[in-house]
Amino acid sequence: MYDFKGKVALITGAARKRGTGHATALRLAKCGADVAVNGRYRPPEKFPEEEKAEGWKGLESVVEEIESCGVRGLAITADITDRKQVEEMVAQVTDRFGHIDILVANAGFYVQQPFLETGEEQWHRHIATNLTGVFHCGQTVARHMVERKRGVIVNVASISGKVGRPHVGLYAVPTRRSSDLTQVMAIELGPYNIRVNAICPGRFLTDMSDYARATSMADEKGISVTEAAHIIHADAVQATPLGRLGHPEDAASLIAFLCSDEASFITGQAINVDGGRLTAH
Amino acid sequence: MYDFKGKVALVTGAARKRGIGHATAIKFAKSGADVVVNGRHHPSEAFPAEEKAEGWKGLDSVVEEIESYGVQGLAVTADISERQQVEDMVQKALGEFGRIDYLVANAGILVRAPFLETTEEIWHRTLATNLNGVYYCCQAVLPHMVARGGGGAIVNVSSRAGKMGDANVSAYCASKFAINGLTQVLGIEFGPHNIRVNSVCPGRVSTDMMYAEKVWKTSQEKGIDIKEAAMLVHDDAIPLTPLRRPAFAEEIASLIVFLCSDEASFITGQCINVDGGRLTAH
Repeated sequence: MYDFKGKVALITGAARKRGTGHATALRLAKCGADVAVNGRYRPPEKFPEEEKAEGWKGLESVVEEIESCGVRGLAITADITDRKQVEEMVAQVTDRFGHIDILVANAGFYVQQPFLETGEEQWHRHIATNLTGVFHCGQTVARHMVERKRGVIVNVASISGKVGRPHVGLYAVPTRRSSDLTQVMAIELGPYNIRVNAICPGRFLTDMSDYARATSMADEKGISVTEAAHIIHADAVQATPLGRLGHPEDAASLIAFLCSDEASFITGQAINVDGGRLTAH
Repeated sequence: MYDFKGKVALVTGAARKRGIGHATAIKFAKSGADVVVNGRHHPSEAFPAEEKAEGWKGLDSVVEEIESYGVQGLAVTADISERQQVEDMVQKALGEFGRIDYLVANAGILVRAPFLETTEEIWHRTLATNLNGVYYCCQAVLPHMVARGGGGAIVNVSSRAGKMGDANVSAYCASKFAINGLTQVLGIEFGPHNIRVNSVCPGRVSTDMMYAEKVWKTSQEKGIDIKEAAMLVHDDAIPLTPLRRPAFAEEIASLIVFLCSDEASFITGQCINVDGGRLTAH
């Protein structure tokens, strides 16, 4: 579909099996890109049941899949809230592949909590991962891209930041701000031929949004995981014109488009991929 | 790029050489779709200099180009501000191909006038083409899409002026804002039928509606290529655009065709800017 031969992509938050990061890594690899994938350190005992059952090894499994597409992969464990780890990660990618053409700042963290019960530590953790992490990765990679006068950055935000709902302040606030940061990056980096956009997924079926709970319910009730997910997320499905939850591939498709030359005049945007749930904000 | 084999696209406002409609029609054809192209009647004496110089024949030239990709084309002359002509156009398309999978409501006009000089005639002519045309085309195509089942996609061509105002384009701006509102409603109402409706909001594009003739003349006079000439002619927009250049029609066509494809199967009700970053994240 798109041609990313010779291009190098770095994707953060790519270690979970049912995640946007993993789906995007695979998509870019299928289009010919070499792909570096990042995730935090996570002990295998803590993996969800489905991952354990399928022998999922986190980033290593993603790299195996990338390389089965005939391109090169690289796994880098790093905490993107830590500036030094981000700089070392980016240096590893450029040492190994020579350059970076595409950054997908996807790593995110999400816990629901009523505002009055939100703790200090939770607040800072969400800001650090969902906003400061985007800053660390974006700035470090952009400095490299400016020297080459080319590059593409996609920040993964959320529709949560566009319209208020209860209990999602911890996630809504930093993701909204990461879209604002996207605008500023686009304005300043545009003259260097670097495009920067955000995607705003609606309710998706991923590890971050209760995939594990859906698989347990599916087992208990003898129904499919999708059916179980539609029960758990009934509120979202009802409110979505396309009547379903998003799949990681839906996000990966939009990210791949934005990284490609097909989007050569698109920059500074925060595009919703939400089945129409939040129209045109 | 995409696989549209067996699918049929209808693109309005496709007769101009340097236009979004033409570029979109070709992009569909390259991916295997049969394409119906529409334009108003336009006497060839009135064609711009570049079109005359290159022997451009309007819709007939577009159909020739479409068919050079091994798919079928059909030209339908119709004024989309007239409901009956729109319905006849859709019937012709269905008569020839049996289906319409993608509608690109692209036909539009831009008349510049200060607000107090925006006459009844300018106002109504602009709304009749830009807004009523979209309304008539969607109303004519949607019943077919719903009845056939199997989904479909509509892309309405709006504008940066559909999100933010500019001086001297009151009727145009009002019509483009209205298209975005209509797009949202259609996204909501037809989502359950798996029919996705989005709009695209281009910034400055070097098309016939926006100084393409001046660009061509400049390139001829100065002996420079079209891209260089476009940079000179569009010098008002360039400093305001992070990507520091105008778009070409193909770049708008790319977004339109993406939105029709399965790659965008979870995107509906959106009004997406393709403007080089000029109006960021609205």
